[in-house]
Amino acid sequence: MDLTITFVEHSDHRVEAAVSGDLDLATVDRFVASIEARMNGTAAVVVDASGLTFLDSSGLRALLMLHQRCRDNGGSLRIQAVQPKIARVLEIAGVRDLLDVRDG
Amino acid sequence: MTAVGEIDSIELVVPLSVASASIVRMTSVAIAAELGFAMDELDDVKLVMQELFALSIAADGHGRMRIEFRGRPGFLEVRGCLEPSPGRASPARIAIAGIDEVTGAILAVAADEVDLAPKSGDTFTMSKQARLHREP
Repeated sequence: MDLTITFVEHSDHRVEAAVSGDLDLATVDRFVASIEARMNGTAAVVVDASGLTFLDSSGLRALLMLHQRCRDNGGSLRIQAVQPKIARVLEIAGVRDLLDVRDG
Repeated sequence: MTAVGEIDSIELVVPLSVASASIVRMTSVAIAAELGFAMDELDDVKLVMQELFALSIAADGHGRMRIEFRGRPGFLEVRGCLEPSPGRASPARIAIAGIDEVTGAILAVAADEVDLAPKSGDTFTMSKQARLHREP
């Protein structure tokens, strides 16, 4: 399944991206490029993962990289509305506690 | 759906490409479902096969992979073999050293056994037992 990324505009310039589909080897480059293109100096990013159906290690690494980039710029990455099957991947990989994850 | 009995062998041959990854994981899930795996176990199978196939693509993005599925109710075994890409006499080798902590953790937790490149470096095997079929 492909990945759809929908951006929500906010007056405080934070970037909010609702993702649906698979974040994996096939879609990760487009995901990162889309987020980075919108960041434009802002360091607050929210990923709405309510529609995420699959996450692999390449997607996890991308989330970790974005998390680090936001922190380096004094901001944060929040991953919200995480569904149980995606939460399990985060737990299996041992990265859930490294990220700001909110269950859906 | 009635689970099948023993699966002696099902083979899938695919190009080592990103586009093939979804075919590999969907085929794996379909076979595991036939063997009676539960939903969360199917998610594990899907994830492990994605990771193993991604490692294989990293080894050789131009060749092909022959994947053999065997199983019985509640048990799945998969063996993947890299085939030589055009112009090469021998297949590439899966780079075990290239496995990072994230992938390593996934393979360790989501499968019961994963053996990468057991002999020649061009093969992986994985197996998983469904919960209901585990020994007490």
